[in-house]
Amino acid sequence: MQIANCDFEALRMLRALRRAKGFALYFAVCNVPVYRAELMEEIRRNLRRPIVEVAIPSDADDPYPPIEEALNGRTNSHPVPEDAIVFIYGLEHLIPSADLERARRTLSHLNRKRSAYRRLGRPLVFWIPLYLIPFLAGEAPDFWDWHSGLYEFPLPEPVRGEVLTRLTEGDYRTASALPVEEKMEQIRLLESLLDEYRGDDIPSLRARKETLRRLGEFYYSLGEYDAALKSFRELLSVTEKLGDRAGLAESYNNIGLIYKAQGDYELALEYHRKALAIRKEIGDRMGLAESYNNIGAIYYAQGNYEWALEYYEKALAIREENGDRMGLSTTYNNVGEVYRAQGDYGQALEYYRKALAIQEEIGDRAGLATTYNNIGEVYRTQGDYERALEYHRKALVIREEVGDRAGLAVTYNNIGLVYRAQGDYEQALRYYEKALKLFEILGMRLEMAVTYHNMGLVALAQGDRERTSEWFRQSRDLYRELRLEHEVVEEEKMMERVSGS
Amino acid sequence: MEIARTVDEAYHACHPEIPLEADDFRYVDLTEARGGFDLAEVFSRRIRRTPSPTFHKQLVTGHRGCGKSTELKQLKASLEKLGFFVVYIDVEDVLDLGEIEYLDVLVSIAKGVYEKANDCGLDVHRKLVEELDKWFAEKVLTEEQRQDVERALRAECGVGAKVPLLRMLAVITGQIKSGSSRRVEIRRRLERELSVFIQRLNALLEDVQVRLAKRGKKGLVVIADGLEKMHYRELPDGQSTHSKLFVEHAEQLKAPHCHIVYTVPISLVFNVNLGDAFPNTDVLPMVKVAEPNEARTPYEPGRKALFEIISRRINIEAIFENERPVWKLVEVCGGSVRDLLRLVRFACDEADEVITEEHVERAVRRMAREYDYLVHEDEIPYLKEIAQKRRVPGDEASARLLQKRLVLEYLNDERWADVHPILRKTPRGREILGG
Repeated sequence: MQIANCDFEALRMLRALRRAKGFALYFAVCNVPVYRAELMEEIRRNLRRPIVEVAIPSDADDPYPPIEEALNGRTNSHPVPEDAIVFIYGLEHLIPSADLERARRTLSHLNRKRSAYRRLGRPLVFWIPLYLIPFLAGEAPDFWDWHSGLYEFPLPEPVRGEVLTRLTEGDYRTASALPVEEKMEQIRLLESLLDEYRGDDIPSLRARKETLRRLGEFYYSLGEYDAALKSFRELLSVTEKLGDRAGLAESYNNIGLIYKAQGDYELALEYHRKALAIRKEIGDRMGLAESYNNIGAIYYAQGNYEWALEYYEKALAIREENGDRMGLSTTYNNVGEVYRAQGDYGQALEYYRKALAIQEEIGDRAGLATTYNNIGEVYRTQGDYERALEYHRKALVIREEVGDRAGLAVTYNNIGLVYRAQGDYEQALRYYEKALKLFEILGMRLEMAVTYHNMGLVALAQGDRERTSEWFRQSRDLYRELRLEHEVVEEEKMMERVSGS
Repeated sequence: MEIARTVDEAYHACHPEIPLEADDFRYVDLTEARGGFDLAEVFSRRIRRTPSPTFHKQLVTGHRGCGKSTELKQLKASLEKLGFFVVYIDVEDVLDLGEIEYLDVLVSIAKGVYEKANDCGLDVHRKLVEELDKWFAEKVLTEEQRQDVERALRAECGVGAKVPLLRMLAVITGQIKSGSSRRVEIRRRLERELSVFIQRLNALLEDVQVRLAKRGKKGLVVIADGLEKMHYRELPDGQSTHSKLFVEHAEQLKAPHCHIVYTVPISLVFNVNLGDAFPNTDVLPMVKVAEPNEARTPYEPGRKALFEIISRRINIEAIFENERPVWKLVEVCGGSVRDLLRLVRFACDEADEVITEEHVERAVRRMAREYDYLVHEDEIPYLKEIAQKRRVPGDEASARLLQKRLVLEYLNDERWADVHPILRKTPRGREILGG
C-alpha cells in the first residue's frame, strides 16, 4: 500500500518517533479506522522500533487505567520493550461529539492526570479524528499543551470517495433499520468525514450534502432531534450554496419532519409547504408525493381526517403512477390509520394488509414494525387482546433490533393500553413508564402527554386519587406547552372529575 | 546537559513539558523581556517586608506555558538564599484537580510542611504531633479508615512507623485524591471541625517556625503550584468551581499562619471580587516580542531573550542553516516559551541534518494550522476587536481566548494583549489581524 499524499507527514512522524526518548505526547489525526490500520502498518514497517497498541474500551470514562495496565500490568505475558512507542486508539468513543456530558468527563480525566501520563515515561501517540482537536485544546488544555507533534493524515483519493459512497449509499429506510451500535459507529465516521471535505468547492459541497443528509437521518431515527435539526440546517445551507433546488426542498422537508416529531405542527406545515412549492416548480414528482404524504400526516395528527385523506390520495396517485413500492406502503399505512381513527376497522385492516404485502416482499423491517403496530391497535380496539399483544410483540422485536427508540416507546405505550383494557393495571403502568422514560429522552412531548393521560386513566380505575390528579396535571401542562388548547380543557375536566367525586 | 549539536540532540533539548530547575544553566532571566516584571524579586520583597506576625498571601497566574513553574522555582531558590524555609507543593501530584476543595488544599499544606520539616530533622513538638495525629484519627477518619492506617503502620517498620502523623496525612491526601466516597466523608468531617482543624494546623505551622527561628531561619513559605489547572465547571448556584475555591473560600485559604503563594486560573483575574479577597494578585506576562503600536515594532530585549533560550540549548550554528530561521521562530511564538520549544521540535520533524529556512516555514505553517482549528467562527469578532484595541474585555468569551492562548497578555506599564502572531500565517488570521 502507498501512503498517498501523506508521504511527507508520515516522514515527519517517523522522524519524531525515532527521536523520542522517555515521555513525549503526540497526536495523529486520521478520520477513518480502516485507513488508520493501513497507515499503522506502513509506519510499523519503517519505524525500526517496537510499537505497543492499546485500544481503550469504549465503556471507559478514564483512558488512563487501560493504558497503564497495558504497559505495566502484571497480567502481561511479555513485558513491554524499553524502547516501545505506544499507539493509543479509541479516544473518540469516550469523547462523542453529541454527548458533551460524557465528553467532559473523559477530558477532565485527561487534563488532571497529565503528570501520570508523563510518569509512564514513554512516547504516547493518540490516534484521533480531527473533530477531537478543539475538544482537547478547549477542555483538556493542560494535557493538550504538552504535545510535541500533531500529524494529519487526510484520506487520499480514491479512499475518501469510497468511504463517502459506502457511508451514504442506500436510503433512509435501510439506514434507520440498522442496530443502534452500528448507527453510532456510522455517525462517528460521518462526522469525521465532514472534516475531510471542508472546502467550499463544488465536489466538497456535494460530499458534505450527502454526509449531512445521512447524519441527520441517523439522528432523526434515534430521536436525537436537536442534533438532527443541526445537521439538516447545515444541509440547507450547503444546498443553497450549491443552488441545488431539489436538495433545498429535501432539507425543508426533513426539517418539517423534525418539527412534527416535536409536536410543533404549524412550523412543520410551513416547512413542508416550502418543500412542496419548490418540488412543484421543478416538477419533482417523487418529491411531490412525499410532501403530500407528509402534509397529510400532519392533518391526521391534528385530527383533520378529511384533509389528511385528500393529501394521501394525491400522494397515492403519484406513487402508483411511478411504481414507488416503498412510498406506496407508507401511504397505505397512513390511510389505514385514518380509517382506524374513524372507526372503520375493515377498511383500515385492508390498507394495512396492502402495506404488509409490499413490506414483506421488499424486506422493509422498519416499515413492517409500523404496520404490525397498527394492526395490533385495530385488534385492541376490537377487544381481541391476545392478537393485539401478538402483533405488538412482533413490532417490539424489530424495533429493539433496529434501535428505533421512538417506535419502541410507542409500542410500550400500546402494550400498556392492552393490559389496561384487560384490567391488569400493574403491567399497564409498567409499560407506560417504560414508554414515558423513552419519550422524555427523545423530547417527544406530545407522546409524553398522551402517556401521562393513559396513566391517569389507570390510576383513576385503581381509585388512587392522588396519582390520578398528578398524572392528569402533568398531561395538561404538556398540552399547554404544546398549545393544544382543546386537550388542555379535556385534561382539566378529568382533574375536576377526580376532585369533584 | 550538553548543548545540542545535532538535530537529534536538539529534539531532546526542547521539551514543551518540563519546567527548569532553579540551577539549570539553560535558565534565562526574562525580567526585561516580560516588560520589567521579576516575579522572584517582587514576591520575595513582599514576603520580606511583611511584618511579623502577619503573613503574605500571594496569588499568581499567567498563560499556560508562560514559565510560571520555572519562575516559581526561581522564587524558591532566591527565598532559600535569603534564609527562608520554602515548601514547594505541586498540587497536581498530591490532589485531584478535577474535584478540588479548599479543605484538600489545607490538608496538602499540612502534609507538605510537616513532611519537609521532618526530612530536615526539625523536631516538631512531640506532643503537638501526637495530638494532631490522634485528632485526625478520632475526628476525621471513619472506623474502617482507622483500621487501614493501623494495619499499614504495623506492616511497616521504616520511617513511617516512627512518624505516624506523616502516615496519617499521606492516607488522608491519598483518599482525597482517589476520589472515593471516603473523600466525601473526610471532607464532611473536616468541615464540621473546621475551626479546630485550622487551629491545629496553625499550631503545627507556628511550632515549625519557632524551630526554624532557632536555626536562624527567617520564616516559612509555602508555594502551591498547579492549582490553576483545576477543573472549570459551572455550579448549580451560578458561580464556578474557580470562584468557589478562591473567592468564596478565600478566608480559609488565607488562614494558615505562614506566607503562601497560590497559582490560580487565568480566567479568575476578571473576577471583580478576587481583588478584595486577595489584594496581591499578579499576572506573569508573556515575553514581549512586539510593541503595542500600530506597526507592532519588534521589542528587541524580548526577542533576544527568546533567542537565548534556544541558544542555551542548541548550538545554532551547527544545526540551523543560519540565524534567520531562529529569529523567525522567536517572532511567531508570541513570547510563549512552550510554543517556541514546540516549534523547534516541529522544525526538527522536517529535517535530518540541518534545519533550513524552508523547514522552519513549514513548521510555522503546521503550528498555525493547529491554532486555526481552535478558532471558533463566533470568536472572530472578539479577536478582531482585541487585535485593534490591544485590550482584553473582561468577559467570558475573552477569558476563553486567553485560555486557548489565541490571545496573549503582555505588560508595559500596564497590561495589554494581542492576538497570537502565529494566526497571521492563516487566511482567517490575516483577516483578523488585517494583512
